[in-house]
Amino acid sequence: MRSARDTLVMLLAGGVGSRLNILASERAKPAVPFGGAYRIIDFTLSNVMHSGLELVGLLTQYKPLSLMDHVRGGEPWDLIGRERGVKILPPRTGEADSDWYKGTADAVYQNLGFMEGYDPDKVLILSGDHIYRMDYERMIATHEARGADLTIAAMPVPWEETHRFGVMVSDAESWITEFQEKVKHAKSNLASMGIYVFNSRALVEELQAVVGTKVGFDFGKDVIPGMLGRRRLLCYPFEGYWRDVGTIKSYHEATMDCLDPASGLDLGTWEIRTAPDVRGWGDRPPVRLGASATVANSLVARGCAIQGTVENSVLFPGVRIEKGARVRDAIIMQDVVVGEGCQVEYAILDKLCVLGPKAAVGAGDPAVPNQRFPSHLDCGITVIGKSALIPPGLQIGKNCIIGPRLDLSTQGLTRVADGETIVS
Amino acid sequence: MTAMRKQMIGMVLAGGRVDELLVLTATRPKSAVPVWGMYRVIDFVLSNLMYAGIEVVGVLSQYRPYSLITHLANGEPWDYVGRARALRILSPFKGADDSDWYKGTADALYQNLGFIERYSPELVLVVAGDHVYSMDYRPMIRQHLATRADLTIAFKRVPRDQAHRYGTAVLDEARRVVTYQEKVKHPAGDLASLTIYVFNTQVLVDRLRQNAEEGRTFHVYSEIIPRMVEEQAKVFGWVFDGYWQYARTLDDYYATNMDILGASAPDLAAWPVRTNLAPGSMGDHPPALFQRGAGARASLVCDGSALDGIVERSIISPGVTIERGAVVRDSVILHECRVEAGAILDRVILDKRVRVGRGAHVGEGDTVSNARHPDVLSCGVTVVGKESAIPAGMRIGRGCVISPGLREADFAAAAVPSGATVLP
Repeated sequence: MRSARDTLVMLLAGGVGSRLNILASERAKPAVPFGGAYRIIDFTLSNVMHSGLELVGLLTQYKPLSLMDHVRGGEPWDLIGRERGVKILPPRTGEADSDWYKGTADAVYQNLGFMEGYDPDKVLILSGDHIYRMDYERMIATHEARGADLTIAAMPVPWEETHRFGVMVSDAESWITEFQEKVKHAKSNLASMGIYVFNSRALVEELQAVVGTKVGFDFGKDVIPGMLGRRRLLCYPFEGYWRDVGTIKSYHEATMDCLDPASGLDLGTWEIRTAPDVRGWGDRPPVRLGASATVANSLVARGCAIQGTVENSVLFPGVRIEKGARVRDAIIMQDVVVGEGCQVEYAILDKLCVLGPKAAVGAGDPAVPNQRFPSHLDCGITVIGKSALIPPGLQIGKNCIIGPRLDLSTQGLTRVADGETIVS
Repeated sequence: MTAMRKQMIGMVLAGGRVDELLVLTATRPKSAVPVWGMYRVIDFVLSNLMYAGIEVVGVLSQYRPYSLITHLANGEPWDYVGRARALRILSPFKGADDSDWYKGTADALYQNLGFIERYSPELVLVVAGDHVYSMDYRPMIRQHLATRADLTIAFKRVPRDQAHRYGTAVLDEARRVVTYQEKVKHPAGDLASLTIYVFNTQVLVDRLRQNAEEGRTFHVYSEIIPRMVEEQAKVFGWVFDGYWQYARTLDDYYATNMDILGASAPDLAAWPVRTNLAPGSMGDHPPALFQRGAGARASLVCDGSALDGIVERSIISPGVTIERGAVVRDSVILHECRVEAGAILDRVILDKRVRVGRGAHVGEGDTVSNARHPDVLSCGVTVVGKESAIPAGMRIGRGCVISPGLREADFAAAAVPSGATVLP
């Protein structure tokens, strides 16, 4: 166990997640539901719990309501007690300016007062955006044993993805010699996972020098490159499952990994905790399978009632699949109703959507990208926003986006073409 | 004391030893027996009390209370937390003169008069903790107040040929109890007592004191109620017509479990029953995983189970594994059992953490009563006690009772004939 005096955790959970489009339009990225029962941040908080860390400062900013409801004081992760807990740190008005956090480093800088209250020896900086299981204790122990000022967790990513990450070059003893933040032609494919162990004093000094003087506001872009050559920066290689589920495609792929423990994402052994929220799956009854149900290669949360056929899919609590409906390769969130005879394939249905009988979602030509957001959606997935109403018989193609709370039954539609977007 | 004053408190009778459930109650009181996959029997009553807005509940328990104490967790799952809300387990304690165990339900209440008086309630709701039902107590309480009754008892109409199993009453037009008979062969009425009593506190206190001095059996149902009716105290009936089950025998227990799969099943989504979601009972399991070989229908399936075989008309509790090619029909599988590849279960109850070896066949042949306990196990179901391991290839007949904790080596032969009991 490491008390706050030893290692304080600062968890950056303000992510906007704009490439998740409507999935993150009303919630912060860490609060996006994942894996049939969880929210993305549960993975990081469960890692914190399993690593024996005791105090977390949770930095929120973007649409924090569902996140705050979910995390509460930290008790779902046993982070509760007189010296254990999760403290929510929203942006606030300062003396001179009342700015929102301008970047990751700025968020920590603006909460130096919170940190000083605990006078920690080290600070572990995490983000709540990733799906992985990691023992931070080993990383912190390595940081201590090697006498580093800053240790950065890193893992190899495909070369074509390097432009999305901060990448580093390290020597034979893992000391970092170069660091590039999101550049076109990276020198390395060893990507920063955004997991930093800082010696507190080094952190405070660097933040005051960089953020305090308004030189820069970001760890990857400003703080870390400036430390090269002056401080001892250690690379901590991580081998294991780790995914940034920041795009609709990567979100869908990582979700499907939940179905196959061989993918490396094994919910059966990862012991991920979530809040047993009464609106989530808290008191819901067991899964109820009707006499005509067929369910294969799927994850089904409590409170679901299935009469139809479900394959290669993940169902969140309270989903109803009526008779004759077929659901394939889909992610269906809480309390969605898929009416009789519906066909759903390769789609993500956000909470509380209702599909009238014989509606079809996801049939069409995957080669037509979404016209309005081609960079968000070109892999064939159709996304339907929270509480949308899809009238009986409506045909919705591939790469479509239907906005939250839209009632399409009032629009006299019979078909939504491939790549189309309908938002309010 | 005024600060502690409550209009009404609840007292749950949860301590009774019940031999009729054989191996299922070898290590737990009946109120802690699992039912419908994720619940324990006492969850139903505690949820009812919570929904009725009763803020203080005493649970009278003495028989092997450990699993009950763990499960109740100071009432937190039912929101019995706060400065003026409480759920307390009232175990027998040593008095100044004697150190008796509870001699009966009336004695248990009598020994805890101090607890009742601490809250100075006008009414005390006394309920059994070992019945499965969802009931709104408030209309019954309103009737009690409107009729200015001393005692109101909840009844349910039962088939005439079943009435001898219960305390029965005849009501007049004003719903006043004119006859009360406790388990007689040919009762005058077909209204069965559900062991749900609303007492005026003063009446209860007086009657308990009287019973302590003059009683013979120290039970509410066999002494206090008959005497009150005989002395023409104001005893009224409230007739309930919802689902209510009293699993007295193993046959009843099996039938009660199967009820949730039938057409008359109570709607658990409409009246959510709360249970303890903490690790060890329910918590931290991922959603149910249906693997590629799964074929499950007409069943109830809980979190953390992984199904790769055929499951029909069965209850699958949390954390159960059904391997490829296994077949489970008309069975009740409790927490964390493993049914290995190719095993067949037909009309079987497996207590927690039973392992059924590859290719074993449990429940084959014609329906036979258990030879040692034909009065409680006659429906042909075979029951396997907690944590026993059935050897691979083993053949076990119908109506068998397999003791808890058996190792594979404890089975002398490769087959157990129908009706047999296997002891350690």
